[in-house]
Amino acid sequence: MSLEHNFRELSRQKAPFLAKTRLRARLWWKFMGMQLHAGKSVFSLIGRRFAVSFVAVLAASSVGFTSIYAYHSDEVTAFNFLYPVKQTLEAWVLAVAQTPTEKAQIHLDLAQKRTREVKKIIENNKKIDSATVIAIKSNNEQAVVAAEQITNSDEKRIITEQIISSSEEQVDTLKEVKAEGIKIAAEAKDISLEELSKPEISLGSSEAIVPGPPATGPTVEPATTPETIVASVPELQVVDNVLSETKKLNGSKEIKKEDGNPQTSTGAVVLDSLLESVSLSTNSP
Amino acid sequence: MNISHKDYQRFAGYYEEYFDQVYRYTYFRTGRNKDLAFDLASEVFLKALEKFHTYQEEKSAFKNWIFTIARNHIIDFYRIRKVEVDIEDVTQLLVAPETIARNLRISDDTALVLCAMEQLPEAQQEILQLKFFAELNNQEIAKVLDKTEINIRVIIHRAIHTLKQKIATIFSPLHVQNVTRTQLQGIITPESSFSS
Repeated sequence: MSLEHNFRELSRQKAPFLAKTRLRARLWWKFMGMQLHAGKSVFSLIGRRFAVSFVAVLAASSVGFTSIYAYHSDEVTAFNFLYPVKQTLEAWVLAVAQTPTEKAQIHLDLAQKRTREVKKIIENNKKIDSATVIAIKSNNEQAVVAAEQITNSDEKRIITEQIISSSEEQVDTLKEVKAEGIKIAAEAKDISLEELSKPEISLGSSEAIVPGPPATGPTVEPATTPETIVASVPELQVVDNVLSETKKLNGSKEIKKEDGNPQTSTGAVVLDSLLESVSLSTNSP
Repeated sequence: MNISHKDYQRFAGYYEEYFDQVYRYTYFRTGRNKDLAFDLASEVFLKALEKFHTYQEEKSAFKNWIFTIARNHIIDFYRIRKVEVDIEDVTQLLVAPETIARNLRISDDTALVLCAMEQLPEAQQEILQLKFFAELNNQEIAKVLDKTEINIRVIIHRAIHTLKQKIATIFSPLHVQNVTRTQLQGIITPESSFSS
């Protein structure tokens, strides 16, 4: 083995890493001390770095507070620039939910949030956002489906009761929204509220019949009613649809078949079986 | 005199690049005393930071500058202080090469070379340490020691020759006693003294 190899082996000796790191810090402190001794103020020394750190902390805090505000505030609706933040946070909250109980609760909260947002939108923007309205229905359905998967009967019963009571509130709110929507649509068509409240005059009534008029004579247009306004405005149709679905959740035990239509709502069907399973479990010895 | 933040960054870069070399130099100069070697190397860099405003890159490479400071600092350390030579420092030099090899995690023959090197005259030892442990070239060593390059080359040649002779005879059973006495005598230099 050559001397060169031996010397190379000896030159592998190194200082301890931690001690080197401490010395690095010590050198920096010495440099700071030299600066202070030279008459520079502490603020000019740490000024730029402190300012950058302060701004970074402030920015991070602002983002945090903004996110919290966006998540909780009903003012942040679909017409607000923070709405995507709100939706992202809601998606994250849903993603971390693990049990059916948690999922049902979250969907129920979301349905209630969407309901409040719809009301805010019509108050502030004089509009109806169809997507928000549809989200009420879909969240209610998801809540019912999740509740169906709960194995604990007490939890299941509590969630079911919450779904029913929540749907009552939603129905009240949606009725208000529908009324406001009809009013706005009527004003847009220059139709007064008094005219809307008149009963419908149709062909065949005693007031309208004139004997022997030619068939080709002028026809009487039906009077504008709230129903006709709803039928003519797509957004109001969506509200009406969701309202009727939510009513089914509300009074599912005594479902009134409106216009002879069979129950088609998934939520209503599932809620029925949910209520049955709850009553069965409470009645069982 | 003050240095700017930019200069400090530059100094920090030099610290990362050369600290291990300075540490190795002080380590072998202090008879393989790790704590003392680190303390001295730290003091060298702290001193260098204080004087960094005087350093001119165009006149001398940082390597030459820092090793000049290191050499002077070690000389001052042994001159100014009345050094109490700890019995452990002495016994460190008396341990068998196998123990040195184990402690430093080197091969046995490298440990033999180290023992032989520590028997060389001080001047030759220092130049070999600067050459092989501090990784300075002949020109840089000449600047640090304020000698000519030719002079340095000659000393290195003689040192290697003597080293090889010592390796050939080191720690043979016939020479154990003599070697021990020589090692002890090697510690007693004009710069240090035993405490009574």
